[in-house]
Amino acid sequence: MIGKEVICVICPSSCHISVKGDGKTISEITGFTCKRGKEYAENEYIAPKRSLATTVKAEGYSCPIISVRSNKPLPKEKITDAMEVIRQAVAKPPFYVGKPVIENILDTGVDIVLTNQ
Amino acid sequence: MSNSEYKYDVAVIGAGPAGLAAALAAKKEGAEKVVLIERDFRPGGILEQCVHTGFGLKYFGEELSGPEYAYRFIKKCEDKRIEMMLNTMALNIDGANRVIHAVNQNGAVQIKAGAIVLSMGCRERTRAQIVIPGSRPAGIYTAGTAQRFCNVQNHIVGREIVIVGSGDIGMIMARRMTLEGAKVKAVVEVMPYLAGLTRNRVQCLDDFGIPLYLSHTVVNIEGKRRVNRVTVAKVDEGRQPIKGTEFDIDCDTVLLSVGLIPENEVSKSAGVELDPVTKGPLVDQNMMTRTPGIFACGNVVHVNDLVDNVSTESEIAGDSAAKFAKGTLKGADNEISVKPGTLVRYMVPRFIEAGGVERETKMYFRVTEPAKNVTIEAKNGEETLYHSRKKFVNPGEIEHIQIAADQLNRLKGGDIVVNVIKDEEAR
Amino acid sequence: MKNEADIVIVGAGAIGSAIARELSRYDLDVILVERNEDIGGYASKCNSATLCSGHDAPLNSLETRLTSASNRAYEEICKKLDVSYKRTGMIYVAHNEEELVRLRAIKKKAILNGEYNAETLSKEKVHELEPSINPDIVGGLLIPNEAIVDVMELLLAFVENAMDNGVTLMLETKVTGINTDPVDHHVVSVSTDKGDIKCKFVINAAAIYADALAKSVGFCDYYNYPRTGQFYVLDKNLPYAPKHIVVPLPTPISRGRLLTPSIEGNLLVGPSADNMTDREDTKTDKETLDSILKDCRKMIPAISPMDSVTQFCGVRPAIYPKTDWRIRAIDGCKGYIEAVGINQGISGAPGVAKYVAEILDDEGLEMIEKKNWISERKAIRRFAKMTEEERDAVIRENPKFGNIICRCETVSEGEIIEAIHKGPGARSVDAIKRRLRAGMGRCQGGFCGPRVVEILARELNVSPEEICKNEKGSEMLARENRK
Repeated sequence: MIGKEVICVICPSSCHISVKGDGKTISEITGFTCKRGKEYAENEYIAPKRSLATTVKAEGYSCPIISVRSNKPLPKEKITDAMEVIRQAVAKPPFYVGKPVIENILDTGVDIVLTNQ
Repeated sequence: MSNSEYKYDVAVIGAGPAGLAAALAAKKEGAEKVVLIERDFRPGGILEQCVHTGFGLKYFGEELSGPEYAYRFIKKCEDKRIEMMLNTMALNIDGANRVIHAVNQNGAVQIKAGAIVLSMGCRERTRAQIVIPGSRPAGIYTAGTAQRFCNVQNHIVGREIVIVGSGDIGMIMARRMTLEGAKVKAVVEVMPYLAGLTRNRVQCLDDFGIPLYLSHTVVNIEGKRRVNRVTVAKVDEGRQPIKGTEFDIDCDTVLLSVGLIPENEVSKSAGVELDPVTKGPLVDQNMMTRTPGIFACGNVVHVNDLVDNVSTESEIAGDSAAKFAKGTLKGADNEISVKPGTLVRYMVPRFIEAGGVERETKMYFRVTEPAKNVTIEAKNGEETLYHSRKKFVNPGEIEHIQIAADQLNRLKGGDIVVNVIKDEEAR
Repeated sequence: MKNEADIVIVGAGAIGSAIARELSRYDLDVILVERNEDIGGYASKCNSATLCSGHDAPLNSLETRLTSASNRAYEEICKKLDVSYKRTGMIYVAHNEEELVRLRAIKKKAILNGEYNAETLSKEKVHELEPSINPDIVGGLLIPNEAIVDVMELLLAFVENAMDNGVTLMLETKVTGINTDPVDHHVVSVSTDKGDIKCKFVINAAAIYADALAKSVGFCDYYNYPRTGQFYVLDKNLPYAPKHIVVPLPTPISRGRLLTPSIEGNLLVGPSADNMTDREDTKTDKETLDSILKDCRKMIPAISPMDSVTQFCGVRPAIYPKTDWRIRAIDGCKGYIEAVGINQGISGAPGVAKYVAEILDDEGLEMIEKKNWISERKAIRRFAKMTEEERDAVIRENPKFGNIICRCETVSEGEIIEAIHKGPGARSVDAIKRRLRAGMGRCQGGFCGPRVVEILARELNVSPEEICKNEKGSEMLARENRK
C-alpha cells in the first residue's frame, strides 16, 4: 500500500490531503475540503506534473541566453532529464514568443517554447 | 543648457509592469504624447529576469512567465506608438515644474511632462540591513541579484547555497539553482511561518528535498575570501537567537530573500511625501501623490504579490495622469485619511478626495500577523463602509476591500479606519 | 618582472605610498611592492578616515612632530592631489565632573603638543555646536585641527603621482625576505613570490607584517599583532549626524568609539578595539556591534541601527612594546630602513615620508631632485558631483559616461573604465568600489554588481568567472551556465 501526503496549493487553506493506493489507482483519499483539492491530490498521486521554466543558449540575440518554458506541464520525474536536453539546445533567430525550441521533449508531447523575443 | 529637452503629456519612469500598464492606460485615456523612461537596455523591468511562471492568472486567465507577461504590454505599447527612452536613467525630478532630469548615452536630457508617473519598483533588503555578523567574503548575494546573474548574464553564482528568508524570490531561486546543478542546503526563515506562497514551498523546496528551518536565523557567516560556512540558530518569540541551538552548514554561497524596499530616491527629489511604514509615496484613490500631477504605481508604492494587481492599479494611475495632463481630473478639497487600524500594517491609498472619486475604489493592505477567522471592516466614525469575513489572512499576502464611489463621495470628514478583528476579540 | 632598483618599498598602505611619492621627486629607481591585489594594505583602507592633529600623542615624540606637521601640510597636499578634505574639528564630550577634570589634562597635553587652539567648551557651547548631542553631556573640548579625508582617493593619489613620476608598482607580490651580503650584512636584494629584486635599500612599511620582514635581516625587537576595529556605516544626511568628529574620553589602548562624519556625508560609528591573533580576521560580531551602538548612543541618543548601510571591520597593526614610531635605519644592516609601529599611518604619512627621505640621505644615498617632477595629479571626474551641463558635455565627449551603472551613488560606466586603466588600476569588484563608491550605497552592490563584473571582465580581457571580489580566491561567480 502506497500512501502519499499532499499539501494542496490551490487555495490558502493548504489542506493536508492523505492519498492511499497501489501507486497507480487510489483506494482512499481524505482531508480535502473541495473538488479542486481532491483533483489536485489525485493528480499528485497518480501522475504529478510540473511546469518547467528556464533559459537556453541563444545565438544572435541581445543576451547570451533566452527564457523558455514548457508549453504544458511535464511529468515530474522527467524534469531532470529534460534539463539535460535543454542544456544542449541552442535558440536561433527569428525569436518570437511561443516559438518551439525543442519539440516533443523526451517524447512527452510537451514543447519547450520561447517566452521572450 | 543642453538642447535635449522633451515635452510629453505623460512621462512614466520605469518600463516594468507598472509603467507599461500606466502608459497604455494614459494613451487610452487620450494622452497624445506618452513616454516610458527605462534605465535597462529593454523594457519589461524585473519581469525580464523572472523566467518562471505564475504571472497572468488573474489578468489574462493564463499562466505565463515574466517575460511573456511583459511582452503582452510591450507589444501594445509599440502598437500604440508609446515612445520608449531605453538605457536612460532618471536622476531627479523638479516636482514643482514636473521636469525629469535624466541621462543616457546622448547626453543629459530634460523631460517636461503634463503629468508624471513614478513606477521605479523596489530594491532588495541587504545583509547589512539585517546585521548578520561575520566576515564579508565573496558569495553573498540577494536572491534577485543571483537571478539577474543567472537569467540575464548566464552565470551561476555558487555551488552550495544557503538561502536566508522564505520570500518567494528566495524559494524560486532555490529551485532555479537546483535545476542548474547547485546544491541548496537550507532555507532559513526567522518567523514561525513561511514568508511566501505555500505553492512555492511545495514546488521549490519540498519537490527537491530542500529543508526549511522556520524560527531560525543565520547568526554568523564565515569565510575569508569566499563564504565557506554559515551558523544557524533557533530563535525565541522575540526573534532572538537561542544560545546552544547553533549548528553549522558548509556552503559557498548565501542568498538573501529578506524583503523588498520601494525605491524612492527619485521621488524624494521631487518632494513627494512618503509613507514612513511602506517607504512609498502617499497616494489617493487616483494613485496621485501629494505633489499635484505626480502619480505612482506598482512596487514603488507598496510591494505587491501579484503582478496582475500591479497592472490594474497602474491603469488607474495612468488614466488619472492623462486626465490631469488634460485638466479633466476631478479634484476635490475634502481629504479623508485612510488609516490602518487593528492588525493592519498600512493602507494604499492612504487618503481619498471625497467628492472626486470616479470609480469603485480598491484599498489594499497587509496584516501585521497571521490570523484565522477574521472580520474585515472599514468605518468612518460610526458608519460602516465595508464589512466581510475571511478564513485566513497573513502578512505574506496582500488583502483588499472595495468601497463604492458614491459612498466615498458622501463622506464629510473624519477618517476611514480599516480594522481586521479576530473572532475572539470581537466580543 | 622588473628585477632591479635602487629602492624597494614594502607595503603600499598609507606609509609606503607616501614614501613612494616623496622618493619619486628624486632621480631614483623605486619599486613599491604590495602583496594584495590593490593598494591600501589593511589598516589604511579600512578606518575612520580622520587626519589626526597629534594633540594626544606622547609629548616630545617623533609621533607628535610628524603627525602635527602632516596635519598642517594636508590641506595643500589634498589640493595638489585633487583629494576631498574637510577640517571638521573634533569635540570631546564629558559625561560628568570627573571627565571634565580629565578633559583639562587632555587640553594641557594638546597645548604642550602645539595645538594652541584647543578650546574648552561649556555645556551650552557643546549643544550649540552639535544640537543632537546627549543633553546629559556637561561640557567638552574642541580640537579644531582634526580633519576628515577621502582616504582611498588619497592613497590612489600618492601612488598615481608616484607612478606618473616613474615609480614602479607591483601588486599581488609578496615579499618573503630581505637578503644581505654574507660578510658585511648590507642589503643586496629582496625575495618575493615572483622572484628576487636586486636593490640597495629596502624600506619596511609592511605594518602588520613588518616584524616578519625585520626578522629576515636579524633585527627585530618588537612583534606586531592585529587589533581589529568594527564600524557601523550609517546613511548619508541623517538629521542627527554631527558636523564635528565627536569622541568620548579615550581609554588606555584607544581613542574609544568615535562618531565620524565621512567626506561623502555618511556617519561612521566605531571602532571597537579588539586584539586578535589572526592577522587577516576581519569578522564583525553581534556583541561588539551592539556595544559600539550602546556607547555611541551615550553621545548622540538618536543613533539608530536602522540607519545602517553596512558594517565593516578593519585591522590595525598594533605593536609590542609600544614605543615612539620606529622610523630608522638599523646600524648592523646597511640599506635596511623601517617605518613601523605607526599607529596612525594616514595622519602621519607625509611627515614620515619626508623623514625617511632624510634618513636615506644620511645613509649615503645620492638624492638628486628631478627638474621636471610632476607635483599634481587629477582624480577621476565624478559624475555624481557634476552639474547637469558638465554631465551633458562629458557624455557628448564619451557616451559611456551616459550609462549609469551604480544607481545608488550615480556612477557611470565611463568612470569605471577609467578606474580600471588609470594608475594602480582596479582589477576587482572591491577595487572599483573603493575608487568610485559603486557598491557602497543603499543596495550594497545588488544592482551594480552584475554590471561591474561584466565591465571588469571585458576591460581586463578575462572571463567573468575570473573576476574576484578582492583577493584571488574571492571569485564572484562559480561558472558559466549555458555554454
